[in-house]
Amino acid sequence: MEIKDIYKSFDGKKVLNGFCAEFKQGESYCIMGKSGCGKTTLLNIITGIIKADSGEVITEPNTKLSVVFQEDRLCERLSAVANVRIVCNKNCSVNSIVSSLEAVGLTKADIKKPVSELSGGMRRRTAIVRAVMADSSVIILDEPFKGLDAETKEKTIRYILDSTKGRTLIIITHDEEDTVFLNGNIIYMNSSE
Amino acid sequence: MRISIMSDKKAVKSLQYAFAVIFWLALWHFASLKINKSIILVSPAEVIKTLFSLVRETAFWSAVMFSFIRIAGGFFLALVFGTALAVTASSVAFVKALLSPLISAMKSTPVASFVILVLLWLPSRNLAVVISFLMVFPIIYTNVLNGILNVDKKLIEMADVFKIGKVKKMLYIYLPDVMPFFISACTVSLGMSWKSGIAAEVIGQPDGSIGERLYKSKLLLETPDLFAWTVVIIVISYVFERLFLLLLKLISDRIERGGIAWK
Repeated sequence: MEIKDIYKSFDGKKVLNGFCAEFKQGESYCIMGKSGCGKTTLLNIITGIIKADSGEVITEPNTKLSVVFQEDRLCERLSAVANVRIVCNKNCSVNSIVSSLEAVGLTKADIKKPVSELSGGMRRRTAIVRAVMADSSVIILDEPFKGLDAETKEKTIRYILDSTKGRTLIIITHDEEDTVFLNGNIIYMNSSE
Repeated sequence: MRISIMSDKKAVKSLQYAFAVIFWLALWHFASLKINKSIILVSPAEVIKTLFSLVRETAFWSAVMFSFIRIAGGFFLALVFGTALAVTASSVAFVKALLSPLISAMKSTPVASFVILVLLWLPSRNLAVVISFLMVFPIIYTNVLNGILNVDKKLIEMADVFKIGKVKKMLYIYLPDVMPFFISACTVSLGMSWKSGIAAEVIGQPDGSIGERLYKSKLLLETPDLFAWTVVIIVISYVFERLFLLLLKLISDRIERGGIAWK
């Protein structure tokens, strides 16, 4: 996936000013930058949620994306399993979803509940499992470890790295520590760059 | 413990309701005794007696079926068209704009005006279908449209990014948010369809309808019949409303359970 000369302004304020990057298949990338430098705007442009003023996102034909958004964006009345299940293809079994949710620290009891009854951290991990288990070749995670304690974060990072081999991983974060754990290529974004 | 507290509360509520019903029946009974003219106000006992003699007539059941089929038919037609057009209007701005003045006009036009207009165009036999439809359609359309427009946009974006199929999107993203609007629209419009349908029959007097029987009772000053038919309308309307809302609840629970089920 290649991002070429992306420009984006909101109400005359430049957020992305000719941003370029190349993401190779199967590698991990950490996009770093201070709050407000346009990281989430970039994610929204890559996913097609918003359009860039100019520039292009070049992808291989039939590239499938999966995303952990800044907000969890879960279907509140559904269980964690059902939330993951709706993005999976037919080959994905319920048992494999349950194993994945357990791998990130959710218990069998949590898994059965509607996600509206789960804690912020559990919801976050459900959103991560959803993105990882979806049938996609590129996974984008926007501040995925927000609200997770150190132990859960480590467990979740291990799960992500073990389950995404061969797929492109793009993690948007402002935490330097995440880049050490994830051991990926680092792309720094400055304001309006 | 919790179950027992809840069932206690339910029992108190039922008792309160029963007390309220008995209170109003007693008031009605004493008022009829005081007036002592059954042509003006019949007693509840007399109404029940008339009701028992009515249900033994074949004509009673054919009148009930006549009106039920037409009013329920108009209601279901409005349900289908109201929902379909709300879905279309939610995605095609032109349809929404085109329907907007029509819906406003339908909401504020009196039932009597509709009845007289429809009588100019259609035979009175089908009047209740059209009137029930015209009263229910704007309520269903407006509520379903509001429900669709209130669906969390961020969830729709998520579904688009993950390329979730149309059926799953409808079942798990749209339906949970639209269902409360739909149920509330049905609750309001079920009673309204009966009120307007019977009012239309009273004006149009199609042969063999409840409305016609009601009108004749008034014309011949058969007050017990008038009250008995009114009770019949209330009962049918209530039973129809309860059964339909129960069915809706079962469907909505099934959809929800289907999602929550993990195996």
